[in-house]
Amino acid sequence: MNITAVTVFSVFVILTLWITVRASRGSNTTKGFYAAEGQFGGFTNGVAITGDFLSAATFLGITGLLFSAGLDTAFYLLAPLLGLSIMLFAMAAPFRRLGRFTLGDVVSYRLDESPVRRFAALTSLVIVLLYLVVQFVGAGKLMQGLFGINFHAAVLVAGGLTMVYVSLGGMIATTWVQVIKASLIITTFMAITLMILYRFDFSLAQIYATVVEKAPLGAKLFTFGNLYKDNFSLLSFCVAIPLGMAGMPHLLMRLFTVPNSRQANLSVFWATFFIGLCMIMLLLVIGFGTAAILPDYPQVYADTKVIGGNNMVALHLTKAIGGSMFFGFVSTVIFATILAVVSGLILAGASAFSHDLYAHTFRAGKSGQKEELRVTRISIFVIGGLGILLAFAFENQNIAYMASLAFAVSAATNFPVLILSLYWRGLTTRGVVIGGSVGLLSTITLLVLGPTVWVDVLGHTTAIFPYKYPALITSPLAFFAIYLISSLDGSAQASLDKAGFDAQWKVAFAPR
Amino acid sequence: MHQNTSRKWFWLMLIASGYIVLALVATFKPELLNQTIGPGPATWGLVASVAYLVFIVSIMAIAIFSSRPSAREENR
Repeated sequence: MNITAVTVFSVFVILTLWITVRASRGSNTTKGFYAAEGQFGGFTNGVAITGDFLSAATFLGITGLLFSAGLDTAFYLLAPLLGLSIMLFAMAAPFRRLGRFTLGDVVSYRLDESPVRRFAALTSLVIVLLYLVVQFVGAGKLMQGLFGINFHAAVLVAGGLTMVYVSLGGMIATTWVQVIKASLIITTFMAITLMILYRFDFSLAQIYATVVEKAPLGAKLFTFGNLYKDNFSLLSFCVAIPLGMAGMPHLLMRLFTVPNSRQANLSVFWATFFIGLCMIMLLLVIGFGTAAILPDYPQVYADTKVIGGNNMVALHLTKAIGGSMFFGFVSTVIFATILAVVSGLILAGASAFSHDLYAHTFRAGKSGQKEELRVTRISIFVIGGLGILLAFAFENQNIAYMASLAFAVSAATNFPVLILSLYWRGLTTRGVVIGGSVGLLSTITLLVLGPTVWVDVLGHTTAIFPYKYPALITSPLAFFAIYLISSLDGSAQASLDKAGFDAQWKVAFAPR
Repeated sequence: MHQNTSRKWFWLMLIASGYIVLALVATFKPELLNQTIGPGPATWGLVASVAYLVFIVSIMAIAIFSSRPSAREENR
């Protein structure tokens, strides 16, 4: 057992539980629980968004891809920055002005509330559950390797802790946990970067020359064309990540934790800065540094393959450059990362259920704050429990792929619905519900017919849909379906939906 | 469309166009990108770092200019 890991983990848990208990005092109202009373400034919230985005999959997965496929991975780094740009320029300010707690608040502003909220809650829950499974499986595998406890127990520990954070402390605790975790992971990125640079006399040229000399792919790592074997997959990925990111419920919900739209903009601005900073370190130093250093450590290879797979190269690197103490520290930071991301996801899912489905649909706005919060707390345990059970079922699935599915669903559902509701007068309730459902169903259908489910899970010899990533088809299809259904909609509700656009525009874009 | 909103869309389209062009070139003409990035890995590092910094700093600068408070800013 790694003593450093246990110590850092214990300190993290004690600190975050203390914050949670303190935060519970300010979480007795719906505004306090879902949106932290809008008390956070743009900087703090920006750091928290950074924490939401920089998951374990980002650090371990991208380092592994840079190590094995090189420059193609640049799109994993560029795509989120485009997603953040979309949030900043097109969505953050109007989203903050129109909504209170959830995506459903914004989309239903001028549309028929009940069906639109049901749709928004459904898609948010699908996305949250997909992403939750990824995080739980990652946490279980990591703790299994680090502390030697079995997978199921590890998932239960991770799930139990996060449900305590969220149910007691709501958004206040979740945000502070995110801020602590983001600070830890940014510090870790900086430490690894400095240690690699020190090893190569602070010369990038020396790192890259060593990669060319020692890495199995050599100079090929610095060319495009290693990762994606077909054009469709690369383009589909390039569509899914930025559009999907701009529709992720746990990221969007963060925009409500600040007092006004200016602070919402500043949140995205600081998030862009910190995420960009980490991406630069990953792309220029950490990824290629791993490819330059690890070939000198034959003990991390078994039959020319990295032990634990390419996702483990970042952890092997930390052991190589900093010994077992640094390895323990970084491993624990990664586990903390997972806990924080899971907290944000569970809160987003629970709020979609209790606020959109229960309070505004089933109870038609007649439930009081206490009743709504009671349902929220119950749904936290239901969603968390469901996530744990699904993690048990998907223990051996490729988690990086499952993470990309969450983005694919978001790019074909939440994003088109949200952007059209903000900017297109012609959008109608029927367009959102039917067109958005086309996006959701087409994504799920193509995923099932694709190679991962049809061949790998169901055992067929060839896939009906030959590509793993469907967003290049499903996202434009969703836009088209929403446009077509709305344009053909001649109902009385459609007239009301369109008539409400001017009033919404005035609030959303607040002309001086 | 409000002037401030138009300006934001202009910047967004500019950034998105760069991204789309890069994605299309990487997909259909990767050799073109590889030649541009070359001739060697060390040069690539410098080009990439400068491009990244310009990209991020642009976004930051635009974000600052586009986040001026409005007279009707609500505080719900």
